[in-house]
Amino acid sequence: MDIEEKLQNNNGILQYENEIILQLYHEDGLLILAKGLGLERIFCEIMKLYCAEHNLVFILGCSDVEQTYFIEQLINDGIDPPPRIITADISINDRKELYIQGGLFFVTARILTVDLLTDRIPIDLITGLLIYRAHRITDSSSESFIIRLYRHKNKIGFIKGFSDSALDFTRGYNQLECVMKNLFLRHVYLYPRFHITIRSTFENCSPDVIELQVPLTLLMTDIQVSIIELINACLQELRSSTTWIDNDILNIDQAILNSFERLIHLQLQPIWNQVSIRTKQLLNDIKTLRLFIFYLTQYDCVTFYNAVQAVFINEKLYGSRGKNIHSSQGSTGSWLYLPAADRLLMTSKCRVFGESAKKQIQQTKENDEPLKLEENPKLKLVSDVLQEIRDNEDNKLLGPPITLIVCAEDRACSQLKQYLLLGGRVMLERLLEQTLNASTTNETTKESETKKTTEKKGKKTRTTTETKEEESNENSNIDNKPEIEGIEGGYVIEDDDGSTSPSTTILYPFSGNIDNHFVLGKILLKYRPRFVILYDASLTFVRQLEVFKATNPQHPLRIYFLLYGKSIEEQRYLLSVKKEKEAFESLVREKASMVIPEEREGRDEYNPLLSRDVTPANQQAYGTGAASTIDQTDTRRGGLFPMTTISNIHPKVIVDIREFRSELPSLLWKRGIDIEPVTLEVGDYILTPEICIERKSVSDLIGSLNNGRLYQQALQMTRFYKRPMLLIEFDQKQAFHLANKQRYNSSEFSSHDLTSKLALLTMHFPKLRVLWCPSPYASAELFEDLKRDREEPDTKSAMLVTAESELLDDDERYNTVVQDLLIRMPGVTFKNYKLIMNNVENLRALSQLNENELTTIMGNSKQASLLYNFIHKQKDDLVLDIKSKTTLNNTWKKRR
Amino acid sequence: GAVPSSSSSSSLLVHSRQRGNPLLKHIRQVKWEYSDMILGGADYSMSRSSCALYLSLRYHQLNPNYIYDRLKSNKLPYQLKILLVQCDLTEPSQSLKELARLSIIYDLTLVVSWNDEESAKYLETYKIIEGKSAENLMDLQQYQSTDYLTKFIDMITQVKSINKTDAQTLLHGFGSLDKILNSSNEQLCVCPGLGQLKAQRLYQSFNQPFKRQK
Repeated sequence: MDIEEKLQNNNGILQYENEIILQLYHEDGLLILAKGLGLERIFCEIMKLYCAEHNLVFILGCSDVEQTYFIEQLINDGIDPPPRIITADISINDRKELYIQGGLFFVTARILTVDLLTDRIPIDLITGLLIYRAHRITDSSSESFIIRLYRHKNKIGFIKGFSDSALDFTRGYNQLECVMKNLFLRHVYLYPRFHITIRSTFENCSPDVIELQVPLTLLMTDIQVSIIELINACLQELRSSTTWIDNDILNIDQAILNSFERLIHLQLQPIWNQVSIRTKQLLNDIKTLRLFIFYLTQYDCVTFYNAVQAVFINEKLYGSRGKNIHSSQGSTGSWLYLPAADRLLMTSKCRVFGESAKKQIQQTKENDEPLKLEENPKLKLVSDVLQEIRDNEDNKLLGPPITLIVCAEDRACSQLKQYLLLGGRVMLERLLEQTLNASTTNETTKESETKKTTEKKGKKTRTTTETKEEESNENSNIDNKPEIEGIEGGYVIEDDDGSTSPSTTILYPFSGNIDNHFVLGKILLKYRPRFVILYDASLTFVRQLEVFKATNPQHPLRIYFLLYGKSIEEQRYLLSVKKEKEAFESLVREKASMVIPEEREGRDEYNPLLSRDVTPANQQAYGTGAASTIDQTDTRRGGLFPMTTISNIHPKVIVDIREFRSELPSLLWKRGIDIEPVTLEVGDYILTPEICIERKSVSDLIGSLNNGRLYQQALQMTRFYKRPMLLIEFDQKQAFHLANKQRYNSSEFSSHDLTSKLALLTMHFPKLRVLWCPSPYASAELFEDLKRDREEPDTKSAMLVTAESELLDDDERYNTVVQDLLIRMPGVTFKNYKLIMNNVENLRALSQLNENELTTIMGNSKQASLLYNFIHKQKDDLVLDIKSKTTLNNTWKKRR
Repeated sequence: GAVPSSSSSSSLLVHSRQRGNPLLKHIRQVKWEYSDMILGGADYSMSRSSCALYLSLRYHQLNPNYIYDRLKSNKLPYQLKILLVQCDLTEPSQSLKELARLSIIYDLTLVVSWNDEESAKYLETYKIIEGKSAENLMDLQQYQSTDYLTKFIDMITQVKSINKTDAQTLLHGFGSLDKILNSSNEQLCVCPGLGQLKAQRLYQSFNQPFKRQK
């Protein structure tokens, strides 16, 4: 059957989808579709076209959830055989057999690379590659490597790329061109929401939308104003403290956008190590404040107050700022000491404790005035809307209503559920009890708390009526469980007590997980809600609703759009719409001016990407600008390694299979070096019979220095190879010693820690050469250099080298994440951590041991005491410890 | 003045040609003194078996022959020969590659630092740990003079996606590590900023057995 006919027979396909599928089928290309317009639906249809045993198609870039979804979908549509998922659990021989049988395969990039390199796949027989999430392709990604390997030997098969993230293509220089180049594609199909076919598809079947605006409460507005003022203050300081950032980014309109941090990061990344501590601190402050804006509408008053208070207390008492005061850096700008900050804290407190909290700075426990516990206005609005839905006339005709409520975050969903079940007051009181009181009235609750934990099921000691209520709630939750099958992470409220008309309400968050929108799509299809409440707005989901409506034109769908009037939330949503539109507009322009070489598709020999030649590393990575020093050095030092060109035979490097997650193997291949993937027990790369290299990225390095693994690896390498080497691959753009900064911004600790550990390692292994490379490109070049005129490595003998069993066992025997936590506790050392892990069940159990028991296990009372104190140190003691610091703060405060 | 090197082996020895090197300002944890009697004429001598040569990449770019001349003229009779390279170029790729080659030929251990403090820290550390056993590689905590909060943050942020702010709110909300370790998933969830996912990850790390079950 012809493809056009096939598609016509399928009624569910929308007009624009039809157009896209036909285009993509007939001509290889990259599809960029607007968010939410059903990329997964189109992908499914494309897969259907190739589901046949005589085809051999590999699908890259799908998440687990997507894979299962696609397979389910195809099975439902009667496709046989459905695509299969290739995992490392399938043995090499079974894999080979499956490939020869043919069909569609979901496969990870790592497995596919190795199988291509080792000729387990008949490359010339591959029908084609489908690449999902194509925006993630870069010069160095493993997908690019796969495509190169494929095109190198297969000139006929197809390549099709899919993406719904237009914004990703406008980041960086020539991103679109770059992705297309790596995909060997000449065509790009752009389908923004304003595309004519898409507009006409949706024209006649838009859902019924009701926009409900509710003002923020006075206190919330106050808080918002304070936060904006604080952000402004930080921005102002930033403008005066740095010239690195464009001033037009440093304004409040930009600062409230989601993209703000990314923009700043883009500008600062190349010079991150030159950025002053103060600038970094300010950026960090803005980040926190931006978070507060989000929290304000997302969280209830109690949680919000907690978050604000935590930052205040932590920063004032023992935050990094405390340190900076006596350091030479002299951080003068700190928003915490501005009047607006006081207002922020006070107003947040007012929302919980009422006006009186404003007057007395120290909150007394015996407070006669009832708590204020201000509810977020949207909550009330949701319950009103739900009431309206229940009272809807149509219910008699169409049956009990099903409502879907979407929030940004899971917490909002669970709170909304509690709100609907318990009412706002009870919900907030409970929260207050769980958080604030627990930490302020330590002494009284301590005993009961410890009792609770020892009891197996720590039932809360409350009044009996409340516990009953809670139990009934818990029961109803359990009853609901089967309902939410397939929508993990959501909540369902069944309302069927006879008195009012029955209804079902589903709550689901749209962020938190990359698959959330995907799951929302599934929920729409499965439950077919007649009403959707957008507690928070998501561009993607709004579009998903449009598609849902368009594919089900008869289905009545009403959307309630809840917004806080004049809030930042509203601006953010509108801006996200605008951003995507602008991204597409710029892509359209880029497409129009793009010059695509004839040989792009690599179907003949001329595509430069397929040539395996040697260009200097800095030219490959950073364009041609930086090549000035090369000739000079190469000719001058040329005498050390005389240059000879070896024709015919490619040099070879043996690479550990686990290394295929990194980009280095592909870059080596590109330089004309053959790659032999094997499982190595010692080292990552074997360059010559003598040279064995262990490669560490900075984060790996930190981890393996901390848990002692690198020490073992160095030991093994020195034992079996004459020239053991440690390759440290750092990011050129982020100085090595700051590599930790993503995790916690101003910790000097980790860098010093790392320095000393590295020093110890090198001291202990004077024969271990350390290679420092700013990029994998540089590493590849260095490897080639090291191999020059030396003997080729022998795979068999490399595989024969086996690490001592103890080392391997360790990895297998213990859970590494927990081990990393444990090893970082004071008192825990390389000598005693195994004793602990062998004799204690887990971290929780560790915390329940007393000092004597710890001493028995660890065999050292001093270390046991260190550990015990670390675990049992109370925050209040901590405050005493650092009182001196606080007084310093105060005098400084007066000085301002 | 020049003190005979034998009598002052407890100090870090600095060759007088290093006078004016800004990194010296940052050496605080160990005693150091100028000496022109350093064995082999190295820039620094940390112990009888270890020495260091100092090279700024920017200087190297201007005087590419300097380091080769040094290495050719000085025989360094040490077990551990550090080439301490300060990376003060924006485009270090080529120089580092060249120095890697050099370090292989001359049996040098290449150590790269990015600023004076860091360079000083390396020298200090080599001096402090001189003669320490390999096992101490893991016991370095005794050299860390950091406060409780930093240690706490350093530990808890090992859990995936937990950041510094989360660490602070956790400590603030629960009061002690002990309580955090003993809390339920739901209790962790209540902490602002901790979504279900983060709470679950924390809970799992606290309650997952150390030993993997087979």
